[in-house]
Amino acid sequence: MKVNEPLKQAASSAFEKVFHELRLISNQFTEEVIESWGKKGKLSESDIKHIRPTLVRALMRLEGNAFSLGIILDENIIPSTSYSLTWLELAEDGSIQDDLNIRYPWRGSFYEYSKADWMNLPRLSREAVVVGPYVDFDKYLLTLAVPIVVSGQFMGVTAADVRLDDFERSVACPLSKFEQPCLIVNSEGRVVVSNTTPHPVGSINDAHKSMGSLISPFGWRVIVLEDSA
Amino acid sequence: MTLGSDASKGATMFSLRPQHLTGVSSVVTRLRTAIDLGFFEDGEMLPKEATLSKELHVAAFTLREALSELRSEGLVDTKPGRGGGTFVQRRSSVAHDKAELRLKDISATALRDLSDWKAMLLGEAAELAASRASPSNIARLREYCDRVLNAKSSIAACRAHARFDIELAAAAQSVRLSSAALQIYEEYSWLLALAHEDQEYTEDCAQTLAAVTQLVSQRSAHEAGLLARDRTRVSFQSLGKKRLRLIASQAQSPEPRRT
Repeated sequence: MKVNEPLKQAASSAFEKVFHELRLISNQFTEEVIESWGKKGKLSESDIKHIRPTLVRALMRLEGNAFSLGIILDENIIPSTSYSLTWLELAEDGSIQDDLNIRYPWRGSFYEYSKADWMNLPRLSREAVVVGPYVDFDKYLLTLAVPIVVSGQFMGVTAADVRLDDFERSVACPLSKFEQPCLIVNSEGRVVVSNTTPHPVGSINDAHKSMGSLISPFGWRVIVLEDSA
Repeated sequence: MTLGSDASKGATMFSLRPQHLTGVSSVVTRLRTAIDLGFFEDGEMLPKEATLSKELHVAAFTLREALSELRSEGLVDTKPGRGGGTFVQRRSSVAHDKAELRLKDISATALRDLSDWKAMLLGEAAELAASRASPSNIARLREYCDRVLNAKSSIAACRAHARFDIELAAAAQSVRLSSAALQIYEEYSWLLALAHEDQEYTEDCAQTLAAVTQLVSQRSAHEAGLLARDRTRVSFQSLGKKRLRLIASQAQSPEPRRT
């Protein structure tokens, strides 16, 4: 097989591990929503609490892949609530910190969740997305998100944050096999992983969007460049 | 989508703080930044003291000290009794007077140094952003330009301007630049807000920021960098003049107004 096959596999399996967990959470949450709707005709904050153990287990399984995850509900899904955020983070000492059910109206107003790509894109497409890499104050992140759709209604997303550093590490072994310049780029043509300084991580090049070969349905690509001596 | 580096304390907006500050001053800075960046709206009641001290991971005593400092700055006001609490008040004359006092006290060299640092930071950010910004970065930059232009108050204009600067650094894909841009704002939002009290200045800023955004979107790195650097110099020149006027007016009336 071609030399870039192991690299593509490493990259897509890094995504797939995270998406697998996100889908499990979304599915379980969907069941709870349906149950709660059946009983009370609406969703309340206490319903979301039940999902916490599931989030904790998922986060533990994703150690080294994702460092935080949770459920963000769209505006007014819980009546008269702008946003609901149930978010867990795996701290560096291995402990799990949670923002369980604490709503931060001010934080929401800063982030304008409804406009964030990881909320907006799944709302429009009803498909999973990979957003980033992007700078979030002091972190360089990818956010992976899957939509939560119940009876045709978009409720929000289950999402996870992945440090770009962790993603790079998960593809480092196959990348080391390349003598020639090699890049992983996202759907914008932005360099996400690189073994060559003329194409640093973060730089963007429209030409990249049609080069190399696709890794995933999210438009990410592996590009192996001609060895420019 | 998380905030702050201090993961062991959970990720909230309050994690955004200069590392060198501790105790009361750290709480003051964190709350001031939260208010300045618009996490709290004007007139909004802060969470109850017990909740807030838990959020901030500080003792109730420390929080009370910090709130009293913010009261003296005119950033919050506390109303006693039922329905009472601590409220954000952003357009207070106390805050304005305090900012003028601070501008008068800052040295010309310190102001020039800050200008150099901010110009370098934003110039570099603009230059890198021109080769790295994504369409969504550019859309946000445009939105912040509009917000500067349509701001109803100097605080709102300053806030939108700060978000523009931080977004520009984020568009440069640089964690260091964006942290540094935020830190300037954490320390000097009072100063930058003072400049925005002049409507003409605000309009001028909005125009230049729009031009920087245009250059970034055209991937004209060099020009974007020059313009962003120049914008900062012009801003600080007007602050420098304001400072001299303040010193002169105090010299003429040796009894400063007490607040």
